[in-house]
Amino acid sequence: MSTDLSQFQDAFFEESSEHLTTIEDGLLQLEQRPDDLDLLNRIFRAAHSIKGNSGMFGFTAVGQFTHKMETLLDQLRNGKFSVTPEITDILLRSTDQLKILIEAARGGAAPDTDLLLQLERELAAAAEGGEAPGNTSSTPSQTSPAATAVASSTPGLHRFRITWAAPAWLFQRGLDPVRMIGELEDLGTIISRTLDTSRFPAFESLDPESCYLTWTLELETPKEQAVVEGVFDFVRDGGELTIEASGPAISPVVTDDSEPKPLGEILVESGVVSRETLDKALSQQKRLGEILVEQHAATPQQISQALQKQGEAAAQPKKTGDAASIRVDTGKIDKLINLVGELVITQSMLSSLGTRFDMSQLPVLVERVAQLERNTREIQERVMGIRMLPIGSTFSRFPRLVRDLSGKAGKKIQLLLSGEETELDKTVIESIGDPLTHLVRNSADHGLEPPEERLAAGKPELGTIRMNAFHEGGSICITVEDDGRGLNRDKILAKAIKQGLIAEGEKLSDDQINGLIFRPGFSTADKITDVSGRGVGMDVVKKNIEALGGTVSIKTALGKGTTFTLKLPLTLAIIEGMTVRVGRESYIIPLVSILESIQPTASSVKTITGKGEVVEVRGSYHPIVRLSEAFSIEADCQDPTKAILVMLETEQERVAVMVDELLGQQQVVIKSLEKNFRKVEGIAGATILGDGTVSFILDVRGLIELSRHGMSVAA
Amino acid sequence: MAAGTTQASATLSAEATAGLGLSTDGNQFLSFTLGEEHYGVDILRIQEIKGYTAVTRIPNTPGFIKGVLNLRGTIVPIVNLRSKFGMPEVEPTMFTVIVVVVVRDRIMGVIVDAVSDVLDIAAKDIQPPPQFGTNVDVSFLSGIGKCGDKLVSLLNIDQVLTADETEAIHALDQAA
Repeated sequence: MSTDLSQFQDAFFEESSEHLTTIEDGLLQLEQRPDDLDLLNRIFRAAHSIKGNSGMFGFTAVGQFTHKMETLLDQLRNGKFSVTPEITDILLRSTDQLKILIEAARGGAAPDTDLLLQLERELAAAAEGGEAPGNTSSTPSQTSPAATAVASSTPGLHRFRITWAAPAWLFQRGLDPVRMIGELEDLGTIISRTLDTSRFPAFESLDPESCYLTWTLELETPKEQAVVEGVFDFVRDGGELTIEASGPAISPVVTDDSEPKPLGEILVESGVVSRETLDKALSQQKRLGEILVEQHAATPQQISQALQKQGEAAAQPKKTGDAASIRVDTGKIDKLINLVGELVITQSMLSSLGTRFDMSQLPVLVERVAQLERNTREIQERVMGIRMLPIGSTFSRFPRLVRDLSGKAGKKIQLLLSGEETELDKTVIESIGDPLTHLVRNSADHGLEPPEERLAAGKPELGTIRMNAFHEGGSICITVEDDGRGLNRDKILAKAIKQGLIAEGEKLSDDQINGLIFRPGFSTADKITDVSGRGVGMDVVKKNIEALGGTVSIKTALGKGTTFTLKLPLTLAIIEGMTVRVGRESYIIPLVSILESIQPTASSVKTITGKGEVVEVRGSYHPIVRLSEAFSIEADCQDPTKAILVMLETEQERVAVMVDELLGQQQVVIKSLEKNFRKVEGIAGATILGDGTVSFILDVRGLIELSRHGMSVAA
Repeated sequence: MAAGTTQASATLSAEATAGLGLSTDGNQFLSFTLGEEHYGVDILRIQEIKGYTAVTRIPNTPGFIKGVLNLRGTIVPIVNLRSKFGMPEVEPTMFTVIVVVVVRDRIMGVIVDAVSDVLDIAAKDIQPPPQFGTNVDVSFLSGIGKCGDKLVSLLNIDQVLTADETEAIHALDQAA
């Protein structure tokens, strides 16, 4: 290939994954609405795009396999067969295989060729017979083209194979071959079209005004042959035209002429050898290395070294293909450009004001600066918005997951999605896929009961898993809800005592009990399935979500269902924070963690064993953490009733953090402290304030832990 | 030039020192003072020299880590070399500067009393650090240089600052 296409390859992979999602989604919906032609067309188009693009980049394996899927899809589209669960199943499995093939093209693990061949055969068989035999290699007669195609062609229709070598003067007379093919399309359906470019001369002798193209078309039409011939009336002389009635359809394994078939395939197709003979012959084929060793041209060591090198070289491109990119809605960019335009105008107004400034213009200056501030804020929001993607892309993998799970577990499950358009940061989107998968698996496997148990409990047989995403305050909530059996409090308790996580007779609140399922290795499943129950999963969910600065909470009712709520920050780069002062230092508390700020009365502050302080807020006691003690700094106020208590919430616990003063609320940009220094306990990061000084953002969880072991050291 | 170094050039302004042509023959050192003592750091390790400004204290860190500073949008930890070497701390003066160095891909600032000069010290004028027994720690030194009648302790800056880090983390482990 003369042009270097590698720079576009990333785009291809990204697009392909979108197309794959479209295909998969479409297929799943097709199961519900088998007659939806629009849907079928959408799937077809996506497959077609993958085929076309992969051809362009030379990924022939992808192209050939997609072509086979396309053949089957085309038959469905033409109404040859109706969509059956078997066919969707083959197509879904083929989609999986296609994913693997594309990944392989990118440098991933090599695909399983046996599985590939098997699927190809199933696809071909389905395209011909409309049914999916499990293993067609034992019935090779079915792959011979003549037998089935006649049977499948619709009665009353004629099939013509048209081979047209267009005359060289075609363009000179102003005739357009596309229009002629269009005319053919008006007569009926073009089942296949192949373009033969073999008549092209060498480049030096190429006449750009001449036509060297040959088309082979398969047309299915109710019209007579004469009508078809009529289309070509004006181009008869000079070119070559053959139109023949072709009973049999084209062989389903037809490929584009540009993709040469392996010799074996051709032999099998033409019936010279059977597939078994071919496979046998192939397996006997020796590898180059073995031949070289036999001929004493190289030692086995040399060969194995060379092979190792080859393996390393094959493993290499994996590392390079990882450049992250993002696809942004053009509308977003246009708005941004407008805003930057405004910013430039404001800036030039300000600088012209600055060149000849006197005090009388002060109000103008104030107004311009206000405008600048508005511009900056808007640009900031829009730029952050570029990183925001709708969560739908993550949700879209779940219908398939649930379909597979319900098949495996023998349960009837419907998945309801809502809030797909909710936007959140790309980094967050990428990291929540796995935790959500765990939660959905958990709901399908543990949460929902088997059909008979559901019926016995007076519930509909069909279990429901509901996923929803929505904004709440400065964060985004994602819920995974099932209407299953709910968490069994006693069972969890018993298991926790058995595993030694808690002592017998220990009093725990409901929240604390539910929290136990997030402990590593904890599982109440009576039997381990291959889906879940091994006790890994929930702790990973919690860890992943907390790494993103989010929280997981559970709401459950025995026999009614369970709801998991993930609360995540909208973005990781900018947070809304409350600036607080302790002595001469100021810190920023993330606003999401703040419940309220209070100044307690003397009667509401109590001490326990003379040291531990608690404050009573609306009937319940919460520990007080003195920020000055946790950070060993001087505070102005030692008396809680003179200071401010900021009520903070993490997961299931609440604490009151004591500070001297609240300075105000502002958006802060998170800067890494670890980049040049290291992690400091109780501090999540640093930020730069308006006056250029550095301030720290508190890590609420870390702060609580810090104050705890600070206390235990003191005790 | 090295032999003629006087007290006047020792108080060379930070900007002038930073702006000196950085000819790179490997034996050039930026010299600075802590009290009466002269120290030198390989000039290629210096990113910049900036005037002293107040820093933000980091809670629960050892005393020699003075705090962090905003260096054009990057958060940079600042080490007080005096407390690092166990010398008494002094109030910052108009000569106090922060020498910004690069240590294993990290940017760090070091507070010193004053920068004095860029010194060319020939290899023959550098001798290995002397041993003092346990009461004087010379592990931070790569050698001592002779410059006229002046003794310049040449610092192995990686050792100085990464030792900080391990020590700080060690301190944290002990606290936990």
